[in-house]
Amino acid sequence: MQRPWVIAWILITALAACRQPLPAQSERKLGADSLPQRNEMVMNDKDLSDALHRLSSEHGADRQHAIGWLCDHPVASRPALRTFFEPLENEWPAAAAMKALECIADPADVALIDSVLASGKLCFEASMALARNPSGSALTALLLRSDDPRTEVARTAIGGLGARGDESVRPKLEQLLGNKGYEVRWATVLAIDALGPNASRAALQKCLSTEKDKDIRHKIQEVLAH
Amino acid sequence: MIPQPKVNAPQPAVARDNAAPQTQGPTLAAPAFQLTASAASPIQKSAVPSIKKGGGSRVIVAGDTLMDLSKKIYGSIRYFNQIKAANPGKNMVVGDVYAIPEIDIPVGTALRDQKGNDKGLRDVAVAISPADYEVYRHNLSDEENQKDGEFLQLVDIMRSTGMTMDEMGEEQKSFMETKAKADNKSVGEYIAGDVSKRGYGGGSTAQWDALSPAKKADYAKRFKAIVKKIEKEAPDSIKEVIKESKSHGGGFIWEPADVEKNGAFAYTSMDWSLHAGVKFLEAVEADIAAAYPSIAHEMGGHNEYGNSQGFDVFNVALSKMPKAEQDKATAGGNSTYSAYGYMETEIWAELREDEFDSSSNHTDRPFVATAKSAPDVKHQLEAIKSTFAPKIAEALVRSIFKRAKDDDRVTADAYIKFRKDIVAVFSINI
Repeated sequence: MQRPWVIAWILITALAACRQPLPAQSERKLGADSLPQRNEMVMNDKDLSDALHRLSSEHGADRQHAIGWLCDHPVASRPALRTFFEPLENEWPAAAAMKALECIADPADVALIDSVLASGKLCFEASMALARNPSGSALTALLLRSDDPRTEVARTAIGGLGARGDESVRPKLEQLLGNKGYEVRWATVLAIDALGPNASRAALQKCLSTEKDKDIRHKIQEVLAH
Repeated sequence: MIPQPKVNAPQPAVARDNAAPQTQGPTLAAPAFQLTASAASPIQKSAVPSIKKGGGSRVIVAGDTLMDLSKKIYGSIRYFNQIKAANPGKNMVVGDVYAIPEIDIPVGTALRDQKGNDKGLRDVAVAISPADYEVYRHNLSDEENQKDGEFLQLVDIMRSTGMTMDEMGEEQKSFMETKAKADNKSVGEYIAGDVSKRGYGGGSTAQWDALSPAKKADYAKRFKAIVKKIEKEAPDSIKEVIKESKSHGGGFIWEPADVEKNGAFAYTSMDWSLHAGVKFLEAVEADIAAAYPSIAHEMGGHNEYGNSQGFDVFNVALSKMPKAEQDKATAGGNSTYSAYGYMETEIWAELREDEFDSSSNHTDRPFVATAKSAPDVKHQLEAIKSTFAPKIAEALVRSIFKRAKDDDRVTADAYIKFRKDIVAVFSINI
């Protein structure tokens, strides 16, 4: 069980992150929440617009290569990528834009990514982008969203917690094993598996003895057998 | 010198009023047969252009048979009876001099007789005058144009370049070698670089894998329901695509993991099916019209187009390289098709999709540029231009254009926009 002050701290930090104005590229601070300088390859506006345009391609290769290019040129691409969510109009290219932001992993994008997750759209992509982001505020956002009453938001945020691989979330995940929502419990078992199940053996064993759903029981047995 | 028709054929009408006929002539040496006059009046379905083959005589050597002679001289065994009839009383004795009758062979028959014979097909293809060729193409039914579209395209490419497939492979090889040299790479390294930039090695299925069995089952159930709805409510032209797909054993396939792995909204494996996943389902549940561009594009366009001619040329070029270079070229694990074959078939798919394109199109749009999406046809034309030797690139594009002109499944509007894009990218008169 989380202590009340921990939950309060998480909420306050997350709200502060959400309220922060989105910093322009030039305003990015150096420090723990900033990316190391990248050595961007020679590029021009056409390269950038080509890559942005290919995010809407039906062809996986085009999108994948565009994401790779944008990730390699974060200074130029970040402002443009953010416009895909301001507002979010077409989920197909926006999903690819989110993958590019995931790859760039700039802490200054956490508030934007969290706002997408909070909107209930592109939940998986946004959660994975938060999972990949080194910022503490990304972790805070995932923790907050893992308690969201909307199943899709909560279950993807929980997936993000597992993918992040941060041991500090283990107690929270173990707590979520007792959640009343089937989808949440399912996502939690997978998240614990991703985090490494050994340290949660006791919690999983306990859950196995009380879990009523056979699919989840089966999944726990699979995870414990690893 | 290229043989000319004995009588000037009339300027043929073309399938669409806005299209000028392709007027490039062949460039190779004359093949060993003559053309006859074809139509002497405005084009009618009855005007059948033909090629004269045969004439003269031949001394029989050991092993000759009537069927062999027929095949060698006319391109098919079906004329052996005419040879026999022209040589009464003779019995294929070595040293016999056989008269070889001159036979008018319809252009279409002469071309089809050479299917699979690279040089033979090129020789016939380039021997047909532009006017006769237009008459021949004009006479083809919609069904023939659709059924033989791929073959006719190859004939068009041979007519444009004057080359056999083997010669095109040689040209493409030289082109890639020159590019490689400019980049200070071996040709295998150059191709590998191209493939790594534009080819595709596959993605992950993380999103699908994270779903619970109940959620997966729910999606599958919803997919069945949405397919029923599409089949009931789709416009007639989409229903036609679905009907055609089913006649080839295709249909709608729920394959969310593979779709995610391919990074696709929906895709086809050239199996006349549309493979769909979660993104497609959710978009179509929100608006059923979101399905139509994908159905026309994947289920229709890519499958109707068939093999990519450019990919065939690339593979011939690759086969002419030393084994070590071939190995380097394909070592990366990405698909060479994505880099060398996809563009043509994608253009066709976009041409088919255009009829259902709108501002709510989820994926990229055939001709419309938006702030976040470039017109895909132009993009693919640019890719063809940079990927293939200039002569081959132009021939490929001309052949797609002609195929689009003759296939009534491509709307006149799409065809006109396609033409504009070709002119813009290639600066050619078409």
